Amino acid sequence: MKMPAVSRQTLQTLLVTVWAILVGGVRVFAWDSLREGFIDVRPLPRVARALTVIGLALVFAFVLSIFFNSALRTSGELEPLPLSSSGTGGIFVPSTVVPLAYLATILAWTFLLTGALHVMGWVRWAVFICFMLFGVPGMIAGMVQASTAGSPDMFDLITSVVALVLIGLVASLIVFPRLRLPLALEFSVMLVLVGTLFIVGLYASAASSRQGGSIDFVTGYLVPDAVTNPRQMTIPLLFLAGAEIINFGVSLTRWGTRSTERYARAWIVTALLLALLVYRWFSFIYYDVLPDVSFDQIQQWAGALLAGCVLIPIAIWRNRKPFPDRVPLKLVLGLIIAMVLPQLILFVVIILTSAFFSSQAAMENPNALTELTQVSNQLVFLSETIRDSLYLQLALAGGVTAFIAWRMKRYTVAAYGLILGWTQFVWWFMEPGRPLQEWRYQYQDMEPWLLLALTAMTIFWLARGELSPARGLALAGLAFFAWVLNFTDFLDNPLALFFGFAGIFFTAFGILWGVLTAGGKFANYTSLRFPRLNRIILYLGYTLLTLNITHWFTVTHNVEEQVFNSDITMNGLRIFGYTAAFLIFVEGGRALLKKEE
Amino acid sequence: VNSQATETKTPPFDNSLAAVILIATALAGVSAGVFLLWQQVAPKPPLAAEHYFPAVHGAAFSYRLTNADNSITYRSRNLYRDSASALASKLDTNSFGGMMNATGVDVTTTEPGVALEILSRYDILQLNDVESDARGNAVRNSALLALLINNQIAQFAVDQISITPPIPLIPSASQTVTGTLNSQIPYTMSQEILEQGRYTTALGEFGDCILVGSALTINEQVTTSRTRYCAGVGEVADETTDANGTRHSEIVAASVGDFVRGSSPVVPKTDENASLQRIFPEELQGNVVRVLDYKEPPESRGITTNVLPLDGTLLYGTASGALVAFDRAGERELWRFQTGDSIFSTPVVSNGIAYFASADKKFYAVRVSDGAFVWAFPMQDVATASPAARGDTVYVASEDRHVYALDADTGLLRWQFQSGSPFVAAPVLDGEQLIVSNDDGGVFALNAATGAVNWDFAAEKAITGAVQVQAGVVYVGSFDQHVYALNAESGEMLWSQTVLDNVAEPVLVRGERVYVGLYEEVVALDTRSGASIWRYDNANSVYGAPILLGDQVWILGSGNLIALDASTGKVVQDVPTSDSGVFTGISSDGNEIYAGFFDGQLLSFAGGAE
Repeated sequence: MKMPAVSRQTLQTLLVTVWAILVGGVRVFAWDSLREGFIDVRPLPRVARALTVIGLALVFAFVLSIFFNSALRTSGELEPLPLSSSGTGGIFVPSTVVPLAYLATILAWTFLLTGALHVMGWVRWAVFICFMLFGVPGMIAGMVQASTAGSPDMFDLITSVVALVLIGLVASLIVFPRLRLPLALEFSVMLVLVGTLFIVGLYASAASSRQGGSIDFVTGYLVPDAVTNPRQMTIPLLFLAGAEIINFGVSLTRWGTRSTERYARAWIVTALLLALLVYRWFSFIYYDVLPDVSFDQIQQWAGALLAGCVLIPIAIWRNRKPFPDRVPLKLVLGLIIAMVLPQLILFVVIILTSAFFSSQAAMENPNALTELTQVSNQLVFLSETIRDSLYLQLALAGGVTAFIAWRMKRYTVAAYGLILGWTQFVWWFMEPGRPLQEWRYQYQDMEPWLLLALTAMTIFWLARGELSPARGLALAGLAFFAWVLNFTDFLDNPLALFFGFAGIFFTAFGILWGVLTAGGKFANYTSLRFPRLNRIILYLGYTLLTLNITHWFTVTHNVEEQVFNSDITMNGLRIFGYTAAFLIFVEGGRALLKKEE
Repeated sequence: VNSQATETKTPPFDNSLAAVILIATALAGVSAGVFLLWQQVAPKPPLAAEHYFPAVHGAAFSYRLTNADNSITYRSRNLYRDSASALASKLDTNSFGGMMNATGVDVTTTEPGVALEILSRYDILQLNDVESDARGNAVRNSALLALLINNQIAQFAVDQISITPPIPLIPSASQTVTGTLNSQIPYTMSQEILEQGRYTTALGEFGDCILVGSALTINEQVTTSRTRYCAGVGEVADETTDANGTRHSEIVAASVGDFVRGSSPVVPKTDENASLQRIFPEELQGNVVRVLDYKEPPESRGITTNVLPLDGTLLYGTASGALVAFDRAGERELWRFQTGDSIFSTPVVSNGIAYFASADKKFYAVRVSDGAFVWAFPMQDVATASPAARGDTVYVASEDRHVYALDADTGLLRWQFQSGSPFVAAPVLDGEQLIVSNDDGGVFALNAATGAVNWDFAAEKAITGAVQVQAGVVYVGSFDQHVYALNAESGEMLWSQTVLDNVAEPVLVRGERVYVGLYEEVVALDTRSGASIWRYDNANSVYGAPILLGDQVWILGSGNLIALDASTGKVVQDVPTSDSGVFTGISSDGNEIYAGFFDGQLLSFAGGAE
């Protein structure tokens, strides 16, 4: 390819083109793709539109409130949360958040339960079981337990019966899916049932605690319990939120490449590719190499190389196979659920075991507490063992996925499985306390290797005069994508001085991006067993539940829980997000060039 | 089959406005239910009588008194507010009788449960006054009890003397009340509002004030007073005349709700200084045993700070918001200063003044000899970290993302530094630097005199434990499961070491060892390289930062106090503590180890038993 001489006119052309690419990228492609990805409410009946708008408004309100969480804390009184506090520090919630979070919890469960009506059986029952385990407030369980043991007073008995009747009514709606009412009625009935259940539970527990003189029981114990109890259940969405960051990066790059393809001439594409490569090398050398290269850093680069070296043979293999394929969302969801499920089951077993032995203790079994401790220790040991081998399990799952997909000639999926298997296998050795713990790498350690590969390919094709516009665009897209993947730091803290969300912004952004693009993925489609309306309502309920908890931990400044939440999101990014990103490199950036699906 | 679809078979009702109204009604009903329920525990709106006398829990005032003999004294006033049912059991016989008369409850005919139910509808206000001379010597302490009842604040007891019927603090109109003191001595009280308007004090001009004139006659002795109350503040000036002459008082400092202004002179300054120390040269001799087992009253709702030892006095904060001074030898409470909310910030003492923060979003200075209020500084959020103090400056790191440097005598702001994240870890002074760390993993070395940033460092995740500095090296642990060693002059990282869990507590550094307390283990690292020296793995949890006494590393486990050999990590002592739930970590004065618990238990352990 012949490059024109650099003149004033050339520079002018270059600048105009870059401007056109930027404006075009935003105006045409970003706007179009966002519009296509958004949940389309137009074909929905009026009630469904209203519910979707309510759900979306709450989601956006929570995200906004997470961003500006300080305003809630500085503008009003704070209530102490004794159960969350420790010697390390007190945890406080803004007073105004307490009733709002409780109401949001009721609404989220109402959305979930209404969304689950009339869909396939396993979804209905999964939602109902989750509601019973994580939703029905602990105080209801306590009340029922109290009223069935010993001689309860009339108040306990009445509230327990009311609670059981309400739960029974919710269950009957789940059991009889053919009992179909207008959506407005179903939602209203469910809202009243769930709301009454929560209000009765809170009222009864508050009344009994007031008799004991504990006035802060509602704020300090009951509301936080009801709001944060489903946090185990929200882990899959937090993982997905991490993976969504990659989708954001893909979309961003795709807008850029498509805009470049439309507005830029061939030589400008090459110029942009070279400029990008030079800039990234300059940044790497100037910021990472010149100041100081520690031995730790060398080990981390080695770790990244070890994890990334598998991409070359997979890329060679993959490029010999046909391309029209993609990794289905169902597979990622399945892997996430398979990863989370054993811990969730153990968590439930621990809850049930504690309840069983507590009732034994209430019946004055002297050995109940000792037996509970023994059983709990064994369950915790089992949980830790499963957790310790998590990355090996994921590696195995990746390998199995690759094998099955290869047999089914789903080569993209097979490549995804291979990358997942290898990266998680080596990651297991990099966990703290394992032989390669010092080799534990981050994406920033991987980027120089990706850059090296892209530079080598650019030079190779340039030297042979084979750098076609399509290749140039793909390489430029990949170089840009490799750069964009660094932006998690930016996402963490774009305007730290004013907001300062720590890792929570990362989670909130991932969830928000998921909501903004849900239409294009599943919410604008329908099937007989999982109608579109149910998808939307169910998804909004789940998102609302997750955001409500994330918001609670943010406004309470609960560092430990925030770190736990953002760790899950970061793991989602690392395990599923980066695997998807590496797949894009392996497939030569094809996903960055085509129109969004 | 997935396909882009338009919905079919929509029931007509779902397209009607009635359906939307139905949903809106259900939503409004449930919302109303939640908010009505919340109203029962939500902060109560103030009574009309609180306009000129805000009955704010934890409010504090300081008045300058000019006595009849022209001597100057200072009165510190501290307000405690709680439900009458919670305080009933704490009152002396006379005060209890006064309260029962005021509420109309006849204890001889009313069942205890019903009586408590009636009392729980009312709040009691306790005004504790501490008066001292210009040298800080105690002159007089007094306590006034009032009930918030019938939209009035009615005084029913003073210094264990009951007043029947109770006298309103602020009269709604001119009135005369007659009754008895301790049901025996007759009294007459005449009150009227003399004027209303602006009033200027040392704290500035107030626009909405009233002047209340009153005359109290007891045994033909008349005491008259003219008291000025201002909206949002309360009493700002008073002139009382009795047989001894006339006494004037004027407000010099106040902390009531959002109004925080002024300071009381710190006279005299003492050389009492204390901050939480974690390293002591001598180990406890012999087998360590429990030597103190004290329980805070239930209304304290637990001890929430480390226990700070100070020359035989133990200082600690409670969940109810009180800073308590406890006489270790006499095993009794010396004084209690009430703030508006829980105290999680372990106090430091500098020149005889205790500095600490409360969850009422204020930072306080209180005299350690008698708990007298000196000044308060308003923040935008809570501070749960212990402050740092040196010379005439005190430093506090707040969850409002600011570090404040305040004048130790007046509480006036000298400089402030803002970061992007809340500060939970305590600030640490090292030479001319103040080193602070935040929730986002940032470590900032600030010029202690100006607040300018000398250097900064970013860990991957939150830092909640204060940094430790030794021989020009800053050691800090983070939630990113690393311990870092940084050059104290430049912030350059010297080494980092991975550990198996989040580091939430401050590390402990002495000689060539860094001791790190994790969730279930303690590890010792080499200060030069970060290399792991030993690791103690506890089957159960260990909490709080370790402390070092001689060659023993002490750490609190769940239900036991454990001593490890500092060189090997082997357990050398295992002392049972308590089944209490959460504790606030351990502290020591070199002779005893102190531990406070969230259930109010205060334990102390000492060596000696062979």
